[in-house]
Parts: sequence; structure tokens; C-alpha cells
Amino acid sequence: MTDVIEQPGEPLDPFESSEGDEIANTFWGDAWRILKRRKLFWLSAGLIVVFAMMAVVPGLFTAPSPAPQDPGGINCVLSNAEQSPSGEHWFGTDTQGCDYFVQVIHGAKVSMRVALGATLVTVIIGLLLGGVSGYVGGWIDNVITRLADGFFALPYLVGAIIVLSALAGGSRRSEWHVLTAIAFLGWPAVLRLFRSTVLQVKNLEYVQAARAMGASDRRIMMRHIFPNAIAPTLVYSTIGMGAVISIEATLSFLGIGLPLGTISWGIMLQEAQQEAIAGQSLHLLIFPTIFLVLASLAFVLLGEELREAFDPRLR
Amino acid sequence: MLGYAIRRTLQIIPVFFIATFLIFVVVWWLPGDPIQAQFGERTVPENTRAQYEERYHLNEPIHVQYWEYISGIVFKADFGESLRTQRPVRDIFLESFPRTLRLAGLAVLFEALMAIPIGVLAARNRGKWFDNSSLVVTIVLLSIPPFVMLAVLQLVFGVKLRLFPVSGIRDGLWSYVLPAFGIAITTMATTARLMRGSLIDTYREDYIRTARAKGASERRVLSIHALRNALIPVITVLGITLGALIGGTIVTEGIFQIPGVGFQIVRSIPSRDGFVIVGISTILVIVYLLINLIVDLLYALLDPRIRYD
Repeated sequence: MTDVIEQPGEPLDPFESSEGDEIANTFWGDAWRILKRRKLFWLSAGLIVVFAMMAVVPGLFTAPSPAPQDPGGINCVLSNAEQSPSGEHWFGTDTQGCDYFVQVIHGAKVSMRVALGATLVTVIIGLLLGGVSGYVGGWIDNVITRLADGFFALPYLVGAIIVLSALAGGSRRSEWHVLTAIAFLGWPAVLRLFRSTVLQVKNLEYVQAARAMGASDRRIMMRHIFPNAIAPTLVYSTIGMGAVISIEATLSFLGIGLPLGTISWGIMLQEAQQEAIAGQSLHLLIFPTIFLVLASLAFVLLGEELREAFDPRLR
Repeated sequence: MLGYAIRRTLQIIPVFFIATFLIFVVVWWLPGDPIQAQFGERTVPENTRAQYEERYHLNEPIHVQYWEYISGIVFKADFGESLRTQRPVRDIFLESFPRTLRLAGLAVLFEALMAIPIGVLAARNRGKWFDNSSLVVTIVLLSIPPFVMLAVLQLVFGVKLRLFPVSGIRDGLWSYVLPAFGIAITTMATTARLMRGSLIDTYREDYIRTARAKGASERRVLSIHALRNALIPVITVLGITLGALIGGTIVTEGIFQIPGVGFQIVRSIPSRDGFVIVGISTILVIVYLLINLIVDLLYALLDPRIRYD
């Protein structure tokens, strides 16, 4: 009990005591010590950095704009349409004769923006409501969990499609609408997860000790419960970003997400599938698929690596 | 047990109303005039419009409309009718549901046939190459968006090799094999890993050691002793997957042109056929709530600690 009471004052810096320290003494220090030795962690983190850079500064990889009319844009020659990959066009050309490599690189922007945005909104709502629900309890907890259960009972993709249709008509849809629809249905999962971890942590001895020492609710929540309950949510939302990338592409592919003509892997695949069924231009299908799967895989892998590092039972 | 069962059953009532109200509000929000949508470009005659408004309470405030609709469901099991065809939603559902059930059932069957052997082999060869490579393969499969897998299967086995029908349901059960396999292969990863973990845990139990000490063969230990208990969580998850798939085969139905429940909902959105959307979604919500209720009650029956929580 005595060494437990010493804990409350300790800072919980995520990367504390990481450098070459074999006896890391915080949860985050332990996790980092495990992570930095794992190849798959560096592989997935590296992939995510590359995709993030594609989204923010596509000019590093290719022409700064995929649109022919923009300055720095590319040349589309209709007579060059649907060429196979070559030295000049690495990924070949699309149905309009535009360079496909440029399109595929620029496709990262929508995916990464929607994934980051939808996950941020989901996590913020989930943490706020889940924290209040788990910590305060009582009738507030009851109201919040029932509300979340109500959202949870909706069939996910059917719900996303109806919400998206209600937000905006086909051609006016933007990534904001897609993001909102995904977040609208996604927050109850984060809420449930964070609420249940808060409930577990809330009754641990060091929290009771902090309360006995007269710490305020706010201090207990922010300094003691939150840092120790956040890990499962972090794992879940990292894997969730991979899932959002996949959902955004699915909605666009089905013609319910972003409008035709948007530079997005889902839209590219929709057009490519029709070409491929007609027996032409398989490269149009292959390259967006590889990028989409790699982007989604990177987040799922990183999440799995975080899970291994965080879960004390696996250590 | 009875007390817990009653409490748990009562809990689904508010959840049912919240979920159905949400669907109702979102559908009400869909852009455009629902009556005009049924007449396309033509002008709607004044008295026809009045008849529609009267019959479907379209002029009332939303909470009145919701109450009219939901009380029809609760007291008369009446899920409304299509604005477009005047066909009862119940009939539309009963016609399309068996197709979705066939697709989902076959998918879960394929999933079990793939995931259970893979999980068992991985657990038996823990840490060896089969275990490690099956882990990598399952994570990769998990991150392939299902629509990509389905579109590729359709392209390769349907269009190119002509081994399976490309789309539609004219070939009976055979039409469902390829799409069901596509669903199974993308969802199998989690189940295979659960099987692996569950079997590894079971192998640590005392009664397995006892069986080995008595000289039972490794094969007998697996099939008679370990597998039976290790399968319990796997079967639960397969059951929940079946429930989730009933509302979640919408992508597959779209790609393979299978007119199941998801297909009916998506088709009714552009024509603003609100009662079809709300009605079918409501049935899906009820199915989901009932499956979860049954799972929870079964668990409470098996594990007394849950009842006294």
C-alpha cells in the first residue's frame, strides 16, 4: 500500500525513461521499450508516415496537382487512354489518358483526411461521454449508455448510407459528409470501451489513495484515471482508422460516398471495375487496390503492435 | 435468474425506441418531397397529394408521425407500406429476407469451415511457421476491404473463368456460393485467432493434463476433451456474426445483384420510399436486439456471476 501512494505525483509522460533504460518504471515507458524493438512496429509506422506525406505534400512524389487545368498539373492526352504501365507512365494511364500514378498518389488525401477526421470526432465524443458515464455513474450513466445502445443497434453500413443520403444529395457530397456519417455511427463503440476501462481503473487502490488524500474529481480523472484507461481506446482507434479508410472507399465504390470525378481510391476502383469486367486495363484495378490495402493494413498492424505492447498479459 | 432475465429484457425497450426514432428522423431528413418523388417529373394532382398526406400522416409534426408508425408496429405488427407500390413492407421483407439469410448462413458456414481448422492447426503448432504465417495472412485478409475481395472474386471466377454466376440469383443456391465465400474469407481472420487462443487456454486446464496422464492419445485429447470446450466462444462469435451479417451484407448484395434486405433499403433511398427504409431497418434492429438478448441470457445461465452484477 505504501509504494502505491507514492504513485500519484508521478508524471505520466509517454516517452519517459525510454532511452536505453532497461528498468522502465511507467506503463508508457514499458510499452515504448517493447515497441522500439519490433520490426512490424517500425514498418507500419513508416508506411503511415509515407501515406501521411502523400496526403499533405503530394508534390514530393509526383506532380503537385492531378488536374490538367491547374498550374503544375499534368498533361492528359485522350489518344493515350488506358495505356499499360511503362517507363513514362509508371502506373499506366486512365480512361481520360491522364497519368495514373499521379491520380493514385493524390488519392491518399481523401482517405487520410476522412480517416483522421472521423477517428478524431469519434474518439473525442467517445472519451467525453464514456468518461462521464463511467466516472459519475448513476442515472447519467444509464441515459448515456442507453443512447449509445440505441445508436449501436443500427445496422452500420445501412445506417451510414441513409445518414449520408440525408446529409447531402449525390453530387454535392464532400469528404465532410462522409466523415460525419462515419463518426455519427462510430462513437458508441469508443464510449463502451472507454467506459468499461474507466470502471476498472476507478476502483484501483491508487485512485482510492488519491481520493483519500483529498484530490479533486477533476484531478483524479485527468491525472490518475485517464492516463491509465486510455490505452485500449488508443489501440481500438488506430485499428479503427484502417477500418475508416476501408469504409470510405466502400461507400465511394458503391456510388453512395464521394461524387464521380473525385480523386479517391474508392471512385478509381468503381471506374476500374467496369473497365475490368469489359476485359480491359487491369492495371486500373491493381494500383488503387494495392495502395488502399497497404494504407488500411498499416493502421491495423500498428494497432496490433500497440496492443501487444500495452497488454500486460502478453508481456 | 428470472429477475435478471426480466431486467435484461426490459432494457431493450428504451434501446428499441431510441434506435427506431433515430432512423425515423434521418429518413425524414432525406432531401426532396416524398410525394413528388413517387410521380417523377409529373405534377402531383392536388387531391392525390391530399390523399397521400391523409393516408400516411405526412403533414403532421415528426413526433406524431413517429408515434403513428411505431404504434402500428407495436400493436398491430404493421410495418407500413411502400409509398411507390402500396405493397406492405412486411411482404417486401418476407420476400427479400430468405435471400439475405441464405447468403449470411452460407458465409458463416464457410467461415467456420476455414477458421476452425486454421485456428486448431495454429494452436497445435504454436510459435512455429504455420502459426506465424497464419497470423500474418489473417491480418492482411482483415485489412482488405470486403468490396475489393468481392469485386476481384467476381472478376476472376465469374467473368474470366466462368466457374460461377457473375450476378443475380437465377441459379438458386449456387448463385450464393461465390459471394458467401468472399464474405467468409474477409471475416474469417478474427474467428481463426479466437479459435487459436481459446484452444491454447483450454490446453492449460487441469483436466487436459489428467487426460494425458491417463495415456489418452493426442488425437483423443484434442477431439474428445479440448475442442469441445474451446469451441464455445467460437460458436458464440459465429452466432453474433450471423446476426451482424443479416444487416451487413449490403455491399455483397450490391456487387452481386442479390435482391436481399440491404438491396431493398438502398433502392428505396432515391425514390424517398420512407416506410420501406424505416420498416426494414426496424426489423433489422429487432433481430439485432433479440440475438444479443439471447446470447446474454445464455451466458447468464452458464455463468451465475453475471446474474448478480
